[in-house]
Amino acid sequence: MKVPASPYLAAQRRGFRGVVRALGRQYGYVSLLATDSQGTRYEVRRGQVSVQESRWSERGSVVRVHDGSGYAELSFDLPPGRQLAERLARALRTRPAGGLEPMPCPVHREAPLRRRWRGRVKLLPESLRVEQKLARLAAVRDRAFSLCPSLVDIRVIYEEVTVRKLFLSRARELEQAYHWAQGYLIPVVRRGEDTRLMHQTYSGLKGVELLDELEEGLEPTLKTAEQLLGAGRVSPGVYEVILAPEVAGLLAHEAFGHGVEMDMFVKGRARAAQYLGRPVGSQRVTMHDGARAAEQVGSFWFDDEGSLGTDTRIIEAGLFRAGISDLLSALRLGTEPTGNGVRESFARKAYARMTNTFFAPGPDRLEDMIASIRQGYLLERFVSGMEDPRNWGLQGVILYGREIAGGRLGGRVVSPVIMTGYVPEVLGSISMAGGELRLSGSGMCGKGHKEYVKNSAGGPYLKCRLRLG
Amino acid sequence: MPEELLQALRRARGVDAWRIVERLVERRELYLIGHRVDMRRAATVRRLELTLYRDFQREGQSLRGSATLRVPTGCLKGELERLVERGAEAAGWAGNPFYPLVAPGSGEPEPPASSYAAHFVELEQALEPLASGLFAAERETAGARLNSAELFVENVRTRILNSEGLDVGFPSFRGSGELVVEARGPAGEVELFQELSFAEARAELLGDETRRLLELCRDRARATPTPPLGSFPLLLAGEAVPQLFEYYTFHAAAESVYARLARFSAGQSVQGERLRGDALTLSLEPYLAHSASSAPWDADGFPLRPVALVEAGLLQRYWGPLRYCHYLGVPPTGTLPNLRVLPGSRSLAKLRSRCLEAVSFSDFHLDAVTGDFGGELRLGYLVEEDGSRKPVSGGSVSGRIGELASMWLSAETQARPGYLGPLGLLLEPTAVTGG
Repeated sequence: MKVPASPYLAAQRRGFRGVVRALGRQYGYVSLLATDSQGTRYEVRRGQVSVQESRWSERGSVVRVHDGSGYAELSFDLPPGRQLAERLARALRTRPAGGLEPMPCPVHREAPLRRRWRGRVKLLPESLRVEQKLARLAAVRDRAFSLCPSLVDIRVIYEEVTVRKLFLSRARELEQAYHWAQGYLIPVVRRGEDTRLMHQTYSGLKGVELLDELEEGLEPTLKTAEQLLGAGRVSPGVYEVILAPEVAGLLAHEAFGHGVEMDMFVKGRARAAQYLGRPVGSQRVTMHDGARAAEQVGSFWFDDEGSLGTDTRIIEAGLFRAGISDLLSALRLGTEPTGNGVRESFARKAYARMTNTFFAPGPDRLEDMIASIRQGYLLERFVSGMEDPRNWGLQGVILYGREIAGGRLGGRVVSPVIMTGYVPEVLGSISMAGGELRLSGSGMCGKGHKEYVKNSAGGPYLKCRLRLG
Repeated sequence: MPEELLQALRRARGVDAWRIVERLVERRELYLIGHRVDMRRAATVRRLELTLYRDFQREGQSLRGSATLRVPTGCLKGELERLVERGAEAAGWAGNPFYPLVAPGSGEPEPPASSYAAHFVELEQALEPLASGLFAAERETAGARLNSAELFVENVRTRILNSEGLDVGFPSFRGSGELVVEARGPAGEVELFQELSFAEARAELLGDETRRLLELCRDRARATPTPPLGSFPLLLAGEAVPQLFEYYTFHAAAESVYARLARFSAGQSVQGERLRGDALTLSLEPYLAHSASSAPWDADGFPLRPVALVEAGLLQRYWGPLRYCHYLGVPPTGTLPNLRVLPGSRSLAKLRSRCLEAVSFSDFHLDAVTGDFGGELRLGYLVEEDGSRKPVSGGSVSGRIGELASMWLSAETQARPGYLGPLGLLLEPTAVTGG
């Protein structure tokens, strides 16, 4: 089913064009991004139900102008009216911190383009009524309690978001509408004093059909949660490990992805800038990022600065080939924007951000990877990670690992596990890569500790060496 | 408040109650690379959150269903009515045990709402002095420099209304952003990152924060890899300390009790009988002068007052919003934004003896449900028995609160966003992996 376009953006398009035209008389470059995204989050747990607006819902606009030396922006949520262009022009003329020296940035000359895109999903949100969605989530919860005696609580969450954006400049008029959904199963189990929390997630450019995945995933999720009870601790040290696709995605995202966001190159914060064309990993390592590189929640046709989405081959057979860039960083660096200029919302600045980031699959089988390890772990799910683009430190908090001993996957589970390492060493140690690529995008990614955006990450099963604690 | 929304609510069928939270945000943003301006931004945004409630009976139980919606600015003709209709329908299917809304006259906040207005600033004038504060701190600190900074200042007008007749509001100021500093050492350039949050636009406060970070970065530049220490005492200092206390507030929250996740009972010890060290005394506060999250009312419009939560290690009461306290049959406290922790009996100098002092993590992690904590060390100090300190970096520390044998709180305090309390905690045992 085709995702419907925004009636609001359709109604205001003419007015927004007028704003761009009016400001264009005063500034060398003007663009306007208008958004109208709407979503709902449904949650059931023990004794509770909630229906909330999604945190990704937004309606508003941001205008960007080149003021002669660099760019200034104004975010607002008023619809276009007779006075809007004058009010914006007045606000843009005030220059807080005007005594400071600007860092010049060239005027953007963009190729003309007018185009509209609309995504497709199997089932649109309207295909199921609110009570039907809640009833299916409640059925999952109730089944969980009947299956798992150690269950204390389980949160069953389904969220659906329709993203709609309009980009206008002198040369461009772009519009897109697409839909994504995500789901979570978060059981908490307890035995005596031992309490454990497990999470399983689902996401994609999907509609209500995602609920099927949520329902199918319940039993394995509860089984793993019960295995966490009595889980041991990993003895600190360096191990041969296999990263499940989700954890491989964490490695791609935190270890190298953040470090090749090219606004970090402009700030001199990225060590990767000195490694262009040089080896940064083993020959098994090929890594992509791009809004058009995969079909997941990080996908779109154009970014929040009017650049078209692409597929960037960041690492190819171990060599660092290219970074990912927002528009202003590309203008300053003299490179091409890669369609990675993304905002948390219309009210925030665009930065160079990852979209769908992943390691390419390889020729190896998971069974062979397990058989090749004498003492190590299969790391399956993560809790969080943090980037360190300058010093290439790596941190990931892994929910649990399964012990591998003597080439066999044993029953022992360790939880939680902190993985750390030095990025080139970790990427250089990747010796095997599985054949199946899987991406997930149920979380959100910050730049530092703010500016949260949706993106996805993944890979195949990867074998490498990591320090665990 | 748009009259159209109130009219739509009056006309709406099947809506038994409603709550509106409106925030008018006026923000100015300055992006610096070194000392130069990367970009200037401004934002004028109204956030309007509407919660609709429907009351009904199911199997003899009184239920209250709710749905929360964001009301966009500039609705098209008929859109507002459709939005309310959609919300009312959803609320009819999201039934929870009944709970009341905050009634007008539920008491006055302490301190009064007027305390908050003092922080409002002239936004256009605020950013340049703050930037100057950063530059001054950099000039005074040899061996490290500013890489980049983002400074945001915003004035927010919050108003909370409900169908019971409640109508309260307050102005507030929020400063935020981030700071990145760098230094060169024998192994090359290193950096440290600090998220900023401030309740007063005072250049000298930001300057102090900058100076402290520059000094830490200078130490990171000469740090050696953390050795594998195994089971070792950890002196947790600085930004991770407030996070560790979230374990205690989580397990004392009415919502956690209702969800059967809480491990604490009123009147009982929150630290266990075997733990050596300082007994905890925690209070929740609506207002801390330095904390940008301070507020006289919570999002329900409940008037906030200081709450003694834990005294000498014993839980005094549960805390939380009206709904969950109503479910438990305990007096509501509202959702308080700040934590105050009484400092400990020993100075940092006394606590510094054969331990790893961790001052900066990549991302300190606490699982409030299980009490597991840890993170990769960006900067720590290996402290010898005589108190001498050597900077170290890399590796990780981890532990579990429920398995600690001792916890000592420093006598020195620190003010962090949403926190006023000990600067350091000496925890034992924890596991230290080498870098």
